[in-house]
Amino acid sequence: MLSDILAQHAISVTGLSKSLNGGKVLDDVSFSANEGEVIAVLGHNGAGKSTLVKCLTGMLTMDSGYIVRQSQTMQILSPLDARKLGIEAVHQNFGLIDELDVVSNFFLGRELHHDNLILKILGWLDKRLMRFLTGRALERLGCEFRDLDRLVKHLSAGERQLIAVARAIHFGAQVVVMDEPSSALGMSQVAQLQEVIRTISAQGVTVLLVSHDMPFVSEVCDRAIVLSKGRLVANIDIASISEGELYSYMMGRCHIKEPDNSLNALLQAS
Amino acid sequence: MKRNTLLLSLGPLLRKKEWFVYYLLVVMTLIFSALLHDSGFFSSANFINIMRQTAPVMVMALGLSFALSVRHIDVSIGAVVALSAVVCGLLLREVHMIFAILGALSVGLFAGVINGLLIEYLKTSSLLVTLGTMSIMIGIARSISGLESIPITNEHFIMLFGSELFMGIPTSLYWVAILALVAWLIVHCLTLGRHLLAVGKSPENALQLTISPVKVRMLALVMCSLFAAFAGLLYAARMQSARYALGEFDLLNVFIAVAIGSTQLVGNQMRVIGVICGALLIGLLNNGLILLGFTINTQLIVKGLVLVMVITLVHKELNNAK
Repeated sequence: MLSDILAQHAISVTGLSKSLNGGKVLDDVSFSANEGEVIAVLGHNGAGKSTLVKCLTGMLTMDSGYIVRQSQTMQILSPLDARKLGIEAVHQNFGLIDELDVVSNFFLGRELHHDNLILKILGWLDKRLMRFLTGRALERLGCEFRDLDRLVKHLSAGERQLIAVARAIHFGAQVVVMDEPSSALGMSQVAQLQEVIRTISAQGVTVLLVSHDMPFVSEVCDRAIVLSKGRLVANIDIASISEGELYSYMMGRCHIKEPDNSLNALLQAS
Repeated sequence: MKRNTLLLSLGPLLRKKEWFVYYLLVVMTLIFSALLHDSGFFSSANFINIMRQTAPVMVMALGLSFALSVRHIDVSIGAVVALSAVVCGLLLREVHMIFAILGALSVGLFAGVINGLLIEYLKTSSLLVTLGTMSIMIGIARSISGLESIPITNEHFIMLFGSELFMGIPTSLYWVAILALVAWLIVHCLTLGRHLLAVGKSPENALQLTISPVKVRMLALVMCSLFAAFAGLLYAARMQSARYALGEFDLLNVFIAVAIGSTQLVGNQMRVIGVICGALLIGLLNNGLILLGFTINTQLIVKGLVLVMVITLVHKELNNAK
């Protein structure tokens, strides 16, 4: 019954705890997200946001708690686990390599090889196929790249981010975790990013957005979860709340809305 | 007017770091040709001689750039050269040439795997670990050769790897060309090349992309030692004997070659042509200094100065290395 309730959501995080250097950085964090929902993860520096991101993407192993996705319950112990669950991260630095071109970056770590057995064993890259798929994936996000062979270091921050997002979506990410996506962008690029986030959420992708940029958050997010000293202190609809109130939660006021409370009660009962 | 724009466009070109090695190669050839116009420096025979002498250094430098591209320093390559040559010499007495070659190469494979395991799984410094394995391998080479040089008389072996001319070019150069092609293909056409770069740039990012940094760095170290073992074969065939001291002085040459031939010493994509040209430059320098009548002492001083100069001029990024 518990798993039924959890499985209704695109992803549920339950009882996630993590200690680093003896201190508890995340303490029993639980929340759920629906398909296509855009959720802001808020909190001051040191509140545990980046640890949460690292736990969800497998860069840190979680001490306790687990993730439920499509009636699959598991802990994320490595980046590969996160990938299996369809969780992809778009980091602050976008995880791109400056010296490689757009296509190579797009397929980094997931290179496609020729069908020929020997070439496959050698790891011979099928550059044409990768180029074609990259172009198509970028088109799907509504942007056209003039030159896919350009080195990433010659691209603007907005373009780099697009590549990172397109990459996550293309490889079947159902949950995209974005770490400070708007911090490196100019005004027009932020508008473009909002457009992209709306596009992917309309395609049913859940977006977790770690950000300090309040206007941006209230523009694109449906809901916000607030972390304070490693604990989840609020889980609220953005529409029903003012920016000032959000700040007060970040300062430590506590407020958790119904669905997750019932979840916690169920968990304790089981 | 036209000339002016030409000069303007030449300016940035001259300042390009990646072209440094080629300018230096041209400049040095011109200088030595001018200084030594009557002692036969600028002759095809001498150039073939230079190529012949630098072939092992070229191969070792290619190997070392694999290790450097993932931020590991391997100083055991000189010892791998010696040990693989000695093993090859000893095996050539007993078994067929093929097995001797395989034996020598497996020295490289073994050394690379041991280095890799020690560095990656004990998470220790590559410099110190390879310093240790270097000493171990030199010790083994000295004891199994009994401090004597092992003559190599197998004509097929000498023909295959030695400096016999084949269509006017020493056979060892064909091997350099083949290995350079292999390195180039790895860098530009194979998945491994991409992963080497990803791990060299940022291991954490690579891990996030589910590329295993440990695996990639192990492979880089194995490639490094394998190339060094191959250099051992080239040495043994050229000298027609195997000695524990082969490759003794080459570590300096190899590091200069890589330093001159690359734009960024560690954690960058390796530049196959650049590194080959860097090795060639060292060959020219050695040869020119000998023809000018300098002793080995002076050569060492000059090469040391060159290395220091290149590091300070080209590799400024090392200044703020952690």
